[in-house]
Amino acid sequence: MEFHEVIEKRRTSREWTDKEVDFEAIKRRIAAGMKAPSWDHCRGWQLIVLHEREEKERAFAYAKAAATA
Amino acid sequence: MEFYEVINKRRSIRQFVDREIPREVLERILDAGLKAPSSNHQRRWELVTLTDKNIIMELAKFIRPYPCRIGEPKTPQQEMFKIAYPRQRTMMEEAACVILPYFKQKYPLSEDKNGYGLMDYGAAWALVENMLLAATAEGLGSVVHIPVKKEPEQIKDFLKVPDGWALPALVVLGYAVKDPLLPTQVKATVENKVHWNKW
Ligand SMILES: Cc1cc2nc3c(=O)[nH]c(=O)nc-3n(C[C@H](O)[C@H](O)[C@H](O)COP(=O)(O)O)c2cc1C
Repeated sequence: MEFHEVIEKRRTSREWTDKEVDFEAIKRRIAAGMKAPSWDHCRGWQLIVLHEREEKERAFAYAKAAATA
Repeated sequence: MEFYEVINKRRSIRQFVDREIPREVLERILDAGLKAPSSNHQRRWELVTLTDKNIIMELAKFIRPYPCRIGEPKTPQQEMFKIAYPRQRTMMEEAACVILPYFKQKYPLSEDKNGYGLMDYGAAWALVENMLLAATAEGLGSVVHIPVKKEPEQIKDFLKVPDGWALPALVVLGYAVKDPLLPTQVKATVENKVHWNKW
């Protein structure tokens, strides 16, 4: 997509369908993130990507418990 | 320019030729910045945009180059230090435009007990990154300088910025010299940085 079109199109989304996302596309997005500037030149980052439903449930269990308490 | 091409092309450029940037180009870059996400939905940002060479030269006086004693760099990071440290002031002096994206600082970072302060600061960086990418899409070179030590106060006084506004970075823009100095990148890829589902 053309750069300025991307800038115009980006909006925050908070509701989703349960349609599976294209895994290769996710990888391209993450690779793009890895090109961002980094103050010490080292890009000292590690990303945890929650993809499986089970893993998401596990990661958000605490948040859910807090929200329903 | 195609989006991913922009992502791949962006590098920190610290050497510029003496050439003005057309006003419409700058406006497109600023506009791209203002489309960035904003934590409180308010985009409480004020962009002081310097294009007057005299003002840029005055501003550059406040910027201190970092001392650097690296002879032969042994790592990519040392390559970056050797290129970047002595150029903090000259890159500003050579720039055709310096943007100072002030954000309204509601929660000071220094006494940030709940983490809210990071929201305004983080949003300001989304604004900065959008501008760096837009500059790349426009064929410009760009780099940031983080105001350190006395620089934030001195710059605020110089530009008569009201209290309550904070500066995450100075965005330095210009047309790059032919073959600018670029340090080797440190490997950051999906393979070596990403953990699927668990660390
Ligand atoms: C938070 C942050 C602060 C930075 N501060 C400076 C700075 O003060 N001066 C400078 O010349 N470059 C600065 N940089 C640029 C980095 O040195 C640069 O992004 C890094 O070396 C990777 O190179 P690249 O931008 O060409 O990919 C900064 C980058 C970030 C993200």
